[in-house]
Amino acid sequence: MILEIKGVTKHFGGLAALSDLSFQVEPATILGLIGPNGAGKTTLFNVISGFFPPTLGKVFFNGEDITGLRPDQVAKKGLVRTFQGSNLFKHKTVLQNVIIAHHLQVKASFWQLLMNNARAKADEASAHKNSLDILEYMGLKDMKDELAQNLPHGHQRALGVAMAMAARPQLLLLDEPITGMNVEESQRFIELIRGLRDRGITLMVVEHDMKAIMGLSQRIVVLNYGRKIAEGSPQEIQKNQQVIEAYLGSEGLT
Amino acid sequence: MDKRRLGHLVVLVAAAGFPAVSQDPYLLNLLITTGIWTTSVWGVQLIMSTGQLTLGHAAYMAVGAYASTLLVMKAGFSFWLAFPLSGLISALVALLIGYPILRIKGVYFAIITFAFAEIIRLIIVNWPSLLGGYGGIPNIPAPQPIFSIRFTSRLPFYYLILAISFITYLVMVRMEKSRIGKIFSSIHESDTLAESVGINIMKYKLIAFGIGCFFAGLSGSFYAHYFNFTSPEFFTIWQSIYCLIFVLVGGAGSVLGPLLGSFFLTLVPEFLRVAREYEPVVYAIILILIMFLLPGGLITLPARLLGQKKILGRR
Repeated sequence: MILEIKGVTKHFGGLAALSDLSFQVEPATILGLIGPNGAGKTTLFNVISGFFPPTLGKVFFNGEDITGLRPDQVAKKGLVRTFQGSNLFKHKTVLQNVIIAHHLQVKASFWQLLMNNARAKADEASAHKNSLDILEYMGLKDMKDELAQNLPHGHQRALGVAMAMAARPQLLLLDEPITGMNVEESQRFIELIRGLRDRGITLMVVEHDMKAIMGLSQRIVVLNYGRKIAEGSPQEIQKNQQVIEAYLGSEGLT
Repeated sequence: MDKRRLGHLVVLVAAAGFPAVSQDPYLLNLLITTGIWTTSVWGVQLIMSTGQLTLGHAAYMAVGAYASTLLVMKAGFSFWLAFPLSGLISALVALLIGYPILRIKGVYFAIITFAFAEIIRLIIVNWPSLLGGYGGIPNIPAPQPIFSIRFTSRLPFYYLILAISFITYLVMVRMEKSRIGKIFSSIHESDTLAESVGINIMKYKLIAFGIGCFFAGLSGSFYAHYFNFTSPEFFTIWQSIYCLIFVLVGGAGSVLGPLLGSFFLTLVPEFLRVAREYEPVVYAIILILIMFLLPGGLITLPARLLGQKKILGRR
């Protein structure tokens, strides 16, 4: 078990965004996190990755209690998240974005970086090479010198994942990675996500595209109004009455 | 030698050679004053490069000025030791104040920097026995002679501030080109994204704040021993606001910005023969014009004139 959520509750003032959530994630698997809008999926990601602490409950990563750690500390442990929407360093190039994301791999100290000595140069060269490899894998290499803000939407999402990869995650939280992509882009991205899992990375994916989630995930957790209403394999979830009811009025589970 | 290094050399030689053209004390004073502001304003720019707005920079100049004055006059230090120490003391005060408040975002952070600046000023005013109160501290000695150069006229001060500014410039350029500068600008662009890839944003914001205030302290120290006088009236909120205006007018997105801003805004009121009281009006008009016509600051003027696509400077 690589990730354990235990009794996580999050209150914003009087509003309970998350209530007593508990589940586990096994390593090198893909867990789908679904639920209607406002169910608390992004809030859960924020709690897990340290952007705010839970009101109650704990988060364990590789058996270690990471509840309340800062986001950069959580990332350092190997738990990295991506963002909904396009959260990028817009005025930097694609390549520069990924190079900066190699922050955790930089060994040089502050002074060494400032003076740009041999160690800093070596770190930079290695980050540069590694970034090119990641960009190649994500299909972004041709655009490496393009400003991030000029990328088409689908590629911006890919860049977000590329940056998360630079942080060498053991567990990757993907927040709506294929939302807004066309069929072709989504397909490629889904293959990419499977590829990451095959490399041993554990993934937790929030998505509204039911077909994609059902196809990708080994297990699915369903949230509604901040509570877990179902957990199981994609087949079990598709038959679950409560889940179907929660989605009544929207696309359905096909 | 690449273009940039050549540019440095040309400017340095021109500046160093200027006194051969004119040693008019009035002009030298103007240039020295510009040098003092430029050094301090580079500190503001560094702080702003992480996305923080500091509304109390003059207070850290005051800390430097008073620290240097006391070290020399009360503790018998040589200026040459007091000068770097004043920078360190300013940085220390900045870190002490900055540490608890750096978590606060945006406007609120700026307001608190303003409040602390006022607190520092009030401490100075209300401690007359040590800090001279409203009247300030007069008769601050000039720097002790070094390499048999005696600071009895404006010229040695001119060369000293030229050296100080140039070193500050080199430090700023080094910062910007290194990964440190990239870290600062990524925090500026998106601190949540920076955090998510493992950057400790509090740490780097504090570092920028500390270094920025270090240079404020240095400029304050020089100020005290050049004017031979220090007073809380020299370091009010107006001076802090001027620091911001100098950066914005020159261009916050380039290391040359503060240099251009300081020069432009020191020289323009002089050329317009503007009375002291109307200086804020002139600055306000210039700032408004720049914000409308050249939002990236004066540094973007060459590109605009050459008809290139508008370069959006970072603010």
